[in-house]
Amino acid sequence: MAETALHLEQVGKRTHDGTVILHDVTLTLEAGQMMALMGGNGAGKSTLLDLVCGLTTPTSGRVTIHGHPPRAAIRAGGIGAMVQGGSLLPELTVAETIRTIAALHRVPRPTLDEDLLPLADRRVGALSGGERQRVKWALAILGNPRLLVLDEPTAGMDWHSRLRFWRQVRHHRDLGTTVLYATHYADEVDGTADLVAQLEAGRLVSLATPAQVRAAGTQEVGGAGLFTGLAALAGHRLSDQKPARTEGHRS
Amino acid sequence: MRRALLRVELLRLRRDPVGLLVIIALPVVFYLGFALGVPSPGADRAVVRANLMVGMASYGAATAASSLAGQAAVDRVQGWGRQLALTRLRDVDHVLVRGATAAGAGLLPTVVVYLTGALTGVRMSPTAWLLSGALVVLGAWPWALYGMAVGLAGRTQSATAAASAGLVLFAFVGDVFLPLSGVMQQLGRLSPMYGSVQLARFPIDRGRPLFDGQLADPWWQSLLVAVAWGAIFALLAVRQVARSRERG
Repeated sequence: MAETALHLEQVGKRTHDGTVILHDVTLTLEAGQMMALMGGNGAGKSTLLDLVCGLTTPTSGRVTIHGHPPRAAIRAGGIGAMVQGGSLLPELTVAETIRTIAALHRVPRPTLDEDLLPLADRRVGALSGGERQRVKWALAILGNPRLLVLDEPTAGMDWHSRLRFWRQVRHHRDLGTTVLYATHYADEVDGTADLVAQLEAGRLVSLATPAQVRAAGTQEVGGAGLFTGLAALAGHRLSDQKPARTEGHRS
Repeated sequence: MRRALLRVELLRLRRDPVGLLVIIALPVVFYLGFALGVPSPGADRAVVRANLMVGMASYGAATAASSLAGQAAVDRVQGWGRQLALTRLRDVDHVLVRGATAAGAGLLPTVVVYLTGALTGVRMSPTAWLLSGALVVLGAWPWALYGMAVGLAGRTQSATAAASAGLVLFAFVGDVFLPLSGVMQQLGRLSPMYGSVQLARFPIDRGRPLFDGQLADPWWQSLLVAVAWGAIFALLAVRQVARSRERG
């Protein structure tokens, strides 16, 4: 039986003013699996990933990583992450940043990835968005974690960097690392994810393999992509997908 | 682990020469303004100036500590706190390192104000110079925690400015700028800066009042007030560091 890497048991999250961000989410990810988290803006993806990383605490339910609470897993070096709002110090160079975070992961002699070598002496503040994402990826894998949590990790990357990035992620998966990631791109799901979890208004509305998602779309509209499949699984009818008419254009 | 974080904090300090200059220059200007502006007869002049020197050095050290630790607010806006929260670093280590760097930065204004004091007629025994100086630097610790707590509680960089404004108020009621007496001194005795400043002044003349009508402060009472405020600021700082992991 495969080991459970990540388990969320009826996890809920409310803000101080009572707004529900996540509602009773139950999810299990087995060791070595890759799960894509999809959903519209404000669906609760980033909050869910923050909960997994112990950056925030659930108001109900519980999260375990290899049987341990998230903060304990972080302290054991079990999680590597690229999260939203997790930024770097602009006044440090890339090499200084990596050395510092490596020391905080108790990695004595970190080696710079080949594509980061030309950036080693550049200040982080002078990097492009895509270059910063590459540095954050290097930081995420520094401690050789068992679980990678990636929140829209390729935002700002050019196509070449994206291809290279996903090749590296799949390489880590092949070595047994479990990966949970949020994305808006269909091409970052096909051929990469084992499972696709779909959130809508804080609720988990579907959990399926990419093939099952596509099949659901095919049944609904006859020949479709991933997004149509996700819409079908969420229970939206085809009419929901059409652009809304405005008063001025009514015929 | 603490060493790595300490290295980063020192690097950041070194890369901000303007901030460093302000931290050092402000208490010196204040000292010169007050010390040279307040007339005091003969033998008392050295004691009055020594008291002012220790007060201004304490204010400078507290400002340095508070503003450096208040950098935590900027870090929060930039998300560095979230990045650190993804490592094995514990909150308490984070608070300790930032507190130590900030309090250590208090050494710079202390040395410069003391040198200025020596050049403007302050005379004390070598033991009093060393002991009061060490107490000024030690007394900056709670202010590092204060700066961190206020900085993290605020949601913008203006939190650092709010911390500085609060510090001026605490310095005023804490007997730093002008000697207090009567009700003002009674109230000020419980304020956060009073205890540590009186402790640092103790080596000058063993807590003897500067003028008639001023209350004498036993050293243990000043120590108690300083430690109590340090503990309050430490609790607030640890709580705010934990809160700062969350987005926004």
